[in-house]
Amino acid sequence: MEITRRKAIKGASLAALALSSSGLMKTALATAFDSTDYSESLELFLGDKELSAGDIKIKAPEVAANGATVPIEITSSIEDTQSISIFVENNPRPYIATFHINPRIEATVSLRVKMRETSNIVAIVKTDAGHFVAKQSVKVTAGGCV
Amino acid sequence: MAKKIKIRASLKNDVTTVKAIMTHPMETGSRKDKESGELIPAHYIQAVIVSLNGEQVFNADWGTGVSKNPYLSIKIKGGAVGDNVALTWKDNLGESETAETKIKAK
Repeated sequence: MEITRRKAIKGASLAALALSSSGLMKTALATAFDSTDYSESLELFLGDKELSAGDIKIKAPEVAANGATVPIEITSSIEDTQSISIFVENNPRPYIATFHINPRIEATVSLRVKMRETSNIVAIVKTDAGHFVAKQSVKVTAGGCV
Repeated sequence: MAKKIKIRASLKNDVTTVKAIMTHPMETGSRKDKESGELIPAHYIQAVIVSLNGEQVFNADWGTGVSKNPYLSIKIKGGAVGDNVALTWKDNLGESETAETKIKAK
């Protein structure tokens, strides 16, 4: 049942990406937010694009006492950064947020995220030259209600 | 409605730092009410927009993984003391709220 549903979601989202109409793209994005599996949410988010390592700094505590509110700061030093997206690998819904960057603002954002358990925080930067990724592990001693 | 967004904008070295705290439950939809045992419906901010003097300079898409009463900080290039900075959020139930502030020197 679960597998069928996932396949259905994947199929629908790939079709949406192929059409790349903005309305359908939004649907794919919404589906990526709803996804409960990290690799699936990443696939929905990226489509067929590949990730390479990039100069992205993730400032996060090594150990978070309270998983309900973990302060993080992401800074991209990659030229022409268009967006910064954040995933928490082991969260029930791993796709946290996307921040759209433009020449009028600096490619840095700070926020607080929920973390159910110890996990990698994954930052993905989108540019015309491709998608770049960086990861940082955070140990969570008391999980947040996610 | 009570002021639910706290926002500050300060200018230093030609960069305006905007910091905001939004009062919002950020319910994921998978949490249960402790007494009734029923699921609490999802209620979370989906979009955040920041504008400078009425012109949009930043937007973000959020899911349920952003902490309750979300904090956000961004840096706008330029800006001048007295300029207007506004932040708007919209949630999955169609509610929205906007707060404004003037840039102060730091």
